[in-house]
Amino acid sequence: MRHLNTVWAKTTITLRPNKSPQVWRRIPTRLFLFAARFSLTASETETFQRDYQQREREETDLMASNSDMGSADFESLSSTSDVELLKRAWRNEKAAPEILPYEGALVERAKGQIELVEENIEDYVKNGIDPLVVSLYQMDLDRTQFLLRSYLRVRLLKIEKFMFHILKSEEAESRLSEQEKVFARRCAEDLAKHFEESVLLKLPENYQSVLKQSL
Amino acid sequence: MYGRKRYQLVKDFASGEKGHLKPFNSKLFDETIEECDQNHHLIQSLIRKMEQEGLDVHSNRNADHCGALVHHLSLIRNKRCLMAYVHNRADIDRDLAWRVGLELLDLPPEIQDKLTTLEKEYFKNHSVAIKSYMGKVGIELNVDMVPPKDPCIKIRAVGEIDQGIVISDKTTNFTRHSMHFLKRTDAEPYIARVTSFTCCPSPKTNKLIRPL
Repeated sequence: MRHLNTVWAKTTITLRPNKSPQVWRRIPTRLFLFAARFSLTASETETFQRDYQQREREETDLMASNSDMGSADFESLSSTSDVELLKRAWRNEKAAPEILPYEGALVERAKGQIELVEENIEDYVKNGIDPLVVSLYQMDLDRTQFLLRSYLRVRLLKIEKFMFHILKSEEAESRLSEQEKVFARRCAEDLAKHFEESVLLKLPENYQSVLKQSL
Repeated sequence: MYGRKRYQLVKDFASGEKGHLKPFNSKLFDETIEECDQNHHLIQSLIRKMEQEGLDVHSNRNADHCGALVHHLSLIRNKRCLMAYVHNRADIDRDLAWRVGLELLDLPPEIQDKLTTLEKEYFKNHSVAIKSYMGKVGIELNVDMVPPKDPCIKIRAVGEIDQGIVISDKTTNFTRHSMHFLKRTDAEPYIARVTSFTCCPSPKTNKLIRPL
């Protein structure tokens, strides 16, 4: 968990999606590490740094022109970007012992943005933009995809663990999405069928219920 | 007396390493079920005896009633142990489905031997449920089990693998001791298969890839 946090701190990248106006992310601060890893020469790192600083200036200009904000507001805006929200939701879900309400809108938006970035990356590859930059975007995309997948996976694992309880309690069931409800019901049916076939049908009649000890 | 077999069954399960399957102990399982049947017959005979004597079954606490109660409790305990055995094995099956692969044939043959036909059925049904969820949501949930660090990994094939495995855009030959520089997404399923493989020790291995 700590490892992941530091990886994130080092490697968030700005994206400037042309089509969606709402996504802004934090600007990276440790590009030297990337330079070292991909072994750029000194002049290349300089040009890269100059590009990055220029991009940073452009973006703050754009942000300032979009709405009159100071740097403090920029911080608060970027902290509510979809990636941050997804990170928070993922962390909460991982830490909580029971299943939390489903963030449907967030997941949809995240999916949309991931597709957007994939298209952008394809365009960049076609236009022959520096492969280093493309691979950085690719890595950022990978990380966001991991977050989304892990979020959904953690929820599914919790459903598998507590399936009978969730189906019994109305309140817990209301926290699932539609597809998750279908999944939970199927899981419970499968497990009940498995129990019946292996154990319960071989036992005497009054003892054949899955949920009750005996009638 | 009553309960020795179910105790052995549960101990058998608990003595395996955590998260790993042992072969399904059908002998003990069937013996426990037989004991359940015996208990049930005895209960019925005792209750019939009480009814023949004209006593109400629920209110009179005579010796027969106590005997029937003991059999009933033993039966319930048997049921609980049997269900716990099946339930824990099912938990491990589900865990395998997530870690290794959703296809039954992806499991190494050593693990497949340890599952009964019923468990294989359950495995299949469960993976179908997972696949249908993934299809509805439109995202593959089986990949990316660990946070991604590098886009490409260096791996070395330590054992023999079937030739001509297709990986994204080129065919790679995993001959013994060959080193490859693959994309992380391609190498992951093989690494997952190996890590689950080495957890269930076996004398022969025919697929080993180690990430460097």
